[in-house]
Amino acid sequence: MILVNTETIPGMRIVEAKGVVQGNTVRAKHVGRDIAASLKNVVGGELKGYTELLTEARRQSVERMLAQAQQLGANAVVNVRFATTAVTSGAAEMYAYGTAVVVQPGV
Amino acid sequence: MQSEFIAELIWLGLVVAMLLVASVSGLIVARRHNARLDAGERETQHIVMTDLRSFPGGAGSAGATLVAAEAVIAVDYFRSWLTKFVNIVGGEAGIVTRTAIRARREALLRLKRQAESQGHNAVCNLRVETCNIRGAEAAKKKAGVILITVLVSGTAYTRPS
Repeated sequence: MILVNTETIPGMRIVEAKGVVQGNTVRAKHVGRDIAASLKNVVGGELKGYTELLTEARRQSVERMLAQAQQLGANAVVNVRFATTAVTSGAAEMYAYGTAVVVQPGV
Repeated sequence: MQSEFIAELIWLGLVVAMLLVASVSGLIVARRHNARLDAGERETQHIVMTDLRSFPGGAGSAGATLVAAEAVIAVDYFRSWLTKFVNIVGGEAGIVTRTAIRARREALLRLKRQAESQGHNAVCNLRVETCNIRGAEAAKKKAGVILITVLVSGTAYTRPS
C-alpha cells in the first residue's frame, strides 16, 4: 500500500478513485506518565511520554485508515491529512484521512 | 507569631529556590537541545525539504512514501510563570517563541531522519501543525506550564543526484 500526502505519486498513474478513507483513535497515557511529565515540566525540555502518545495515536489511526482502503480494494492512499482534537487532559484524538485510489505504473 | 513569620520565610525561600533551580536547569536543557539540533541539521542538510505539492527535481522517482513526526516540548516552570507577566503588559513572550522554534526544529529533524532511513533524499508537501493534548485544562488557563506540541508530515521521495 502506497501512502503519500501529495495528490499524485511520481511514476504512477491514478486509474480509479475509491473515495475518502479515514481512521481515528483517542489515546491516553497512564497516570504514571502524566506524573513523570508534570515533573519534567519543572525544568522544561521534551516530554517524551506525550511525544510517544502522539506517535502511537498517529500509527493507529493510519493503520485503521489503511484497513478501510484495503477493504475498498485500493492500493494507495493519496492526499493524507492529520487532524487532532483536544479531548481531555493527557488524551488526544488523532484523525487521519485521505483518498483511496487504485494506481498503476506509468505517467 | 515569630515562628509563623519564620515558617513563612522558609516557605518563600523554598519557592524561590525551586524557581531558580527550574530556571537554571531550563536554560541548560534548552542549550543542550539547541546544540543537538544544530548537529542533527548539519548531518541531514543534504535532504531537501519543500512545502510544494509537486515533486521538485524528482517527478519520475519511484517509492515515494508518507513520513510524519511529532515533538512535545515544555517551557520550564519558572519561565512559564514569567510569561504571565508578559500577559499583563503585552508584547512578545520570547521564551515561548524560542521553545516553539525548538519544537518545530526537533519535529522537522525527525522527519528528515525518517526520510533518510527509508533511503530518500527529499521531502515535499511539508505540513506543520500544532495539536492540543491537554484538552480543556489548557483552554481554561489552569495549566501551570506551557506545552508546545508539533505534528509534521510530508512525502519522502528520491531526487536523482
